[in-house]
Amino acid sequence: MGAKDEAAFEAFVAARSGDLLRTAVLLTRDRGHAEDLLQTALVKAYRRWNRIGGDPYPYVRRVLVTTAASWRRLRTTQEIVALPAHEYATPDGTDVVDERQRMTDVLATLPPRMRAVLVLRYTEDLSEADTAELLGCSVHTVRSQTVRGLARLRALLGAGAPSIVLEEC
Amino acid sequence: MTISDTELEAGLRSLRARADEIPPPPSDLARRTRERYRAQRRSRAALAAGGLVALVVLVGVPVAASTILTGEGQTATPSGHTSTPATRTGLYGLPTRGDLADDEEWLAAVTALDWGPVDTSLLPAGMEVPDPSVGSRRVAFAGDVASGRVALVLGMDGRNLGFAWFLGPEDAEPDEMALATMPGVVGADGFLGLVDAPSPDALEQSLIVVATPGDTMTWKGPSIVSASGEVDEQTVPLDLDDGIGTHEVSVPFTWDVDVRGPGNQRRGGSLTDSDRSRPGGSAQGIPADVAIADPRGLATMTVRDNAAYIARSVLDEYALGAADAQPTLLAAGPLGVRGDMFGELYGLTHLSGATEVWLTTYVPSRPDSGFQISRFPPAPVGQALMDRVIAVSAESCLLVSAPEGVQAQVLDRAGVVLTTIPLTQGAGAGPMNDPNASKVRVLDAAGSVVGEGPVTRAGE
Repeated sequence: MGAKDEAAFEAFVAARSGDLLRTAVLLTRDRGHAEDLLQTALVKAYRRWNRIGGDPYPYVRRVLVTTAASWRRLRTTQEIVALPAHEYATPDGTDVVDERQRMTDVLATLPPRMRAVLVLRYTEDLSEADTAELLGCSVHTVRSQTVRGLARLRALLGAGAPSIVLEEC
Repeated sequence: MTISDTELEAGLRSLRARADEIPPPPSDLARRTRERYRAQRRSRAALAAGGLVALVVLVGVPVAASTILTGEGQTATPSGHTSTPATRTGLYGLPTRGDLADDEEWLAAVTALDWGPVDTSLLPAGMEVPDPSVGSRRVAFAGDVASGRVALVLGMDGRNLGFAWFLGPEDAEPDEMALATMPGVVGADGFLGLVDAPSPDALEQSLIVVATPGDTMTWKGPSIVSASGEVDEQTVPLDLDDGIGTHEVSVPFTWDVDVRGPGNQRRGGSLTDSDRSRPGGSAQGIPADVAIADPRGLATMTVRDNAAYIARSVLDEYALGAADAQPTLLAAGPLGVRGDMFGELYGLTHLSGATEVWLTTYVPSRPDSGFQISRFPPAPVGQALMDRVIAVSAESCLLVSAPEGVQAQVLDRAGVVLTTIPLTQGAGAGPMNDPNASKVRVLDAAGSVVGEGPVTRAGE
C-alpha cells in the first residue's frame, strides 16, 4: 500500500472506528469481542484498501456485520461461557439504565443474524432495503426476521430476566 | 401487559445512546491492524509454500439424495461405484458414539427401522437406494442435538456401505424416529454429515458430523464477492470431539465443510440436508426449486431439478437469495464430438455487481454417474452477466454466451480462426478441440464484430 493509501487508512480509522466499534458492541455485547471484530473487519479492508471505491465506511461496516453474523455463531459453548466479564456499568437503579441493560441482555440471546437485523434497523436506522443489501439477503428476509426478532424480544422481556441461549447443539 | 412494537423499537434505539457511552477504540488501532494484516500475510505465505492453496473447485454432485460429496477421489454414487470395506473399517468399524451409545435396546430398535419407503418414481432412471440387511446394520452415532434426536445407521448393501440418517423429537423412542432424507452410500473412509432444522424457515441449522477420532474439521462461512471480483472467505475451525461435531450454523448453510484425517489428508464424505429443513419442503432427496432465469429459452434442454439444486448450493456459498443474485441459464448444449456429454452454463450477479459463472457437465444416459461442476473466478463490475462474452472450453467443446450475435469465431493467439460456432440469441455450443484456442470473436448477421472474450478452460 502506498503512502497516500496508508494516510487515507489512518484517517479513516481515526474518523470512523468509533462508530464501527459502537456497532460492533451492539452486535457482540462484549467490548473485547467487539474490538476483535472491528480489527478483523479493518484487516480485511486494509487488504484491499486501494480497491475500495468511494467512502470505505459502507464496505467496512458490511464486513463487520457479516463477520459477526457468521463467525460469532460458530463459537462453542465453552468459549462463550469463558467470555470476559461485561464491562458495562452495573444497573444503577434508574429506570432508563435498567431498561437498557435488560434490552441489551435479551438482544444478546437472539441468533446473530436476527440480532444484526434489529441492530441495523433500529440502532443504525437503516432501511429494510439497506439492511438487506448489507446482510446479503432479501428484503423479505429482513422483514420476517424483524417481526420474529421483535416477537422474541417481547416474549423474553415479558418473561422477566432472560436466559442466555447457549450456542450449541 | 403486552409490550408494543413501538416500545420495543424505542428500547432498541435507546441502545444507541448506551453504545455512545463506551470508551473510544485504542488510539493505535490502525497500527495494530497493520501488524495483524502482516502476520496473516506471513501465515498465508507459509500455507501457500506448503501447497495447500486450492485454485479450482470441482465438486461431484450426485443426482439423488440431495447430497453434496466433498473431497477428492471419493465420488460416492447411489448405485454400484463405491469401494468395498474388506472388513469393518472406517466409520463402519468404529463403536457407536453419542449420548445413546450405551443404550443397547434403543440402538437395536433403530437398526431395525425401515430404510424406506422411498418413492422411486421420483428418482432418475438407474438410481437405486441402498437397503442393507438388518443384520449388517449398526449405529454409528445416536444422540440429541438442538433440532432433536439424531441417529446415523450404517449397513452393507452388497459391496456398498450404505447410510441412513434418522430424526425424531428430543428423547424420541425408536418408533418415533423417521428417515431424515433418502439413504445414500459413502466410501469406506469417508465422513458423514447431516444439516437439519425443525423447519425450512429456521434461522439456524444443526450440523452433525460423524468422522474418525483424531480428524479435524473447518467450515467456510458465507463468502462476500467485492466489486473487483475478489472473494472474501471466512474459514472457521469447528470442534470434533472423538470424531463427532455438533454445531449450530447460520442459514443459509454454505456446505463447505473440510474434514482432514491423518497427515492432514482431506477426507471424502457426504453432507446431506434433511427433507424438513429444505426450502420448499421437497421430499426424499429431490432438490428444492430455485428460480433460474431463462432469457434464451434453453431450459427445456436442461435437467432442471439438478440445475436448481446446484444453483442453490452456489447461492448458499455466498448466503445469497435467488431473487437477489438472479441465477441465469446462459448456454447449453452437447459437449464433445461423441455427443455423450452435455454442458449447461449458468451465471449469477453478486450484490456488489460482480458476476460469476459455473459449468455443469454430465452424461444424460448415465444419471447415476453424477454431475461435475466447474466454477470460474468472479468477474469484476463492468458488464452485466448477459452482456459478457463468455467462452468455456470443456470436453472437446466450447460453450459460448454473448449479448447477441449469430456466430462465434474461435481464434488462436495469432488471430487465426480455428473454427466457428453458430449462436442463437447469443448462445451456442460446438466442437472445439484445439488447445491453441485463445479467444472468441462474436459476429452479428451482417458480419460485424459485436464482442470478444477469452476462452476459459474448465478445470484450469
